[in-house]
Amino acid sequence: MEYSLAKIIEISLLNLFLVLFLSPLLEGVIRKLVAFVHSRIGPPIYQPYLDILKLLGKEEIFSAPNFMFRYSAVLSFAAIMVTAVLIPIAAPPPLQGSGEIIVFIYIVTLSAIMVMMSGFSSTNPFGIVGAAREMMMVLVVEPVIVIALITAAVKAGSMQFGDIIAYQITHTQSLSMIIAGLVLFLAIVAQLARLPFDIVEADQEIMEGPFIEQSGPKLALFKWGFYAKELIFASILVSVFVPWPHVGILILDLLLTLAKILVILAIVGVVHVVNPRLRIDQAVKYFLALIFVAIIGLAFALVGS
Amino acid sequence: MHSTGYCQAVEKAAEIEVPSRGRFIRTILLELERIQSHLLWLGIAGHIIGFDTVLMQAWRIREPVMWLCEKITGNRKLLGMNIVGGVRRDIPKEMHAELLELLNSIEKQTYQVLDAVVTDTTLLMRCEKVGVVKNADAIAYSLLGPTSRASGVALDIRVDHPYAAYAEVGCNMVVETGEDIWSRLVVRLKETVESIRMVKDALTMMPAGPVVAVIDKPIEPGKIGLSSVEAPRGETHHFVITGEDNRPYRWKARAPTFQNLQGIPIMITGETIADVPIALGSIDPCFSCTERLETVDIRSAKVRVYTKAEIFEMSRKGIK
Repeated sequence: MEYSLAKIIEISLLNLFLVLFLSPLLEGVIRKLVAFVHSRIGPPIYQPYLDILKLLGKEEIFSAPNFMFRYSAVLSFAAIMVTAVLIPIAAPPPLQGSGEIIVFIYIVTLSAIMVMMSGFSSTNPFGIVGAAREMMMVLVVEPVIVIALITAAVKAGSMQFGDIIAYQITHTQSLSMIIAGLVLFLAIVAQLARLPFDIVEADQEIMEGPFIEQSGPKLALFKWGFYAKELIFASILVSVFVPWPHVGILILDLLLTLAKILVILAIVGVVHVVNPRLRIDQAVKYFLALIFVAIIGLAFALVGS
Repeated sequence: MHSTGYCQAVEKAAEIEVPSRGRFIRTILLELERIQSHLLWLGIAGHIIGFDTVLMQAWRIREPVMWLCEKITGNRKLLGMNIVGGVRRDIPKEMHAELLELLNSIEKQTYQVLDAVVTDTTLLMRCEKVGVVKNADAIAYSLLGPTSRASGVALDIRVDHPYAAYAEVGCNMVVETGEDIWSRLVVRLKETVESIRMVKDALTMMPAGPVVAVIDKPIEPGKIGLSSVEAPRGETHHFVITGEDNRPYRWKARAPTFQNLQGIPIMITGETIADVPIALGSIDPCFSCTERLETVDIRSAKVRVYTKAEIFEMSRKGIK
């Protein structure tokens, strides 16, 4: 699907706006839901905005004087912003090119690697342990995402998000897509560092893990990046695996997509709140099993089901 | 808990007999403290493994217990009711019905939370076969309280050497043989349920009468009293030598955490970092109850014990 330059800019700005400025609101909604299950009132819905603003105004402490420590937050955030214009939120993504799913996965992994670099470069033992866990999680969670998206690509016969969505809209649900959607959902829970896969971050209950030494604006960028990732992954799941109903008018599609994203994030919130944290070895075993399930889904897609 | 231990030690030294109603009130307050302590522990243990829902819900049902304490004593947590010879205030008969109703609702809510906790499979995954202390090790290291009762050691001062009104109210010892963190959790949960039962029974069984003994002559100096109390964390011992002018000449308290901490190295050797906080949490540590600070120089194997003055200085300036 070809876009004119004006349309590219329009959809890019829309995507960036949603990813940057709507995602804290969605995070606030999840926090309210979590508070409800906890039998408490919880923070106001706009609290994440206040958190980011507060952190942006704080003093930055460079406890580890190296390049990676200083700029891992910036690189991670930049990667997420680039991802924002590669994904479909209400319409096919603005930047079309070949091998699109691959580019998306690479750049999203870059954000995870920046988290690791922040941990390793922080010269703090807790940070290093946290970064090692992030490494293990990335090793087992990324394959699940890759296989799920490739299953969709095999069904549609194309690697581009736009084509996959067009295919999905005109065809009904299929077994391989259901399996791929389910494993992708579980991989997303891990990517968003939600319980039971909270292992990397708040783990060192143990002190924030890789982010232990980050402060001020850099910490704000990391946190903002996390909220943005929630919207990015939820919209991938919704747009690629549950694109119905599709109307064709941008505003209505946008509202429908946001409603579906809200449902997905609510389910993520519920999973988050009824589970304790798994140990890293337990989580790795869990995802190895999921990779196996994802491959079965791919096999179904290859035989045409 | 500690106030009961101290008062009992002085009462033994001075041969003062606490009237029956006073002993029953002491039992009620001791068990209420145990319920509060175990529910707090449940919340902390949940928080350590990331299960904040358990934290919030356990502490939510702890609130009515604190209201109950406030109704009886005027304080929510540090009750301030024990004096040598008995307790300060009576629980008037008119209050009993209201207290029993409150206890019934506490019991119902506790069961709801306990059922949710006990059936959680991920919680089981994190706690089972972790922080294991075998029965022989528990005995060798003299571990106390729920930590040792979860390893099959059947010791509980309330049963073995009854004090206050435990002989009349009766106490069913809770012993598990799992030897891991999950067993300690189960022991504490069962003890909470048993404590609620004991408070209800004590309230209904309480005889009428005075709540404090009349002490009409000064306490003889130079007498020794030793009293043991089953705190939520284990055995607490108080040793008193009475002195001149109704004051203690010497007083020493040994709290259980000091002993239970010796079991930590066995629990965490060979485990992953993720298991250390929950293993430490499973003994319900009260670090302020530990005795002294010792450091071992790894290179020279020299052991150094710090005095109180040195500890104060280190807290202000950093470890030397």
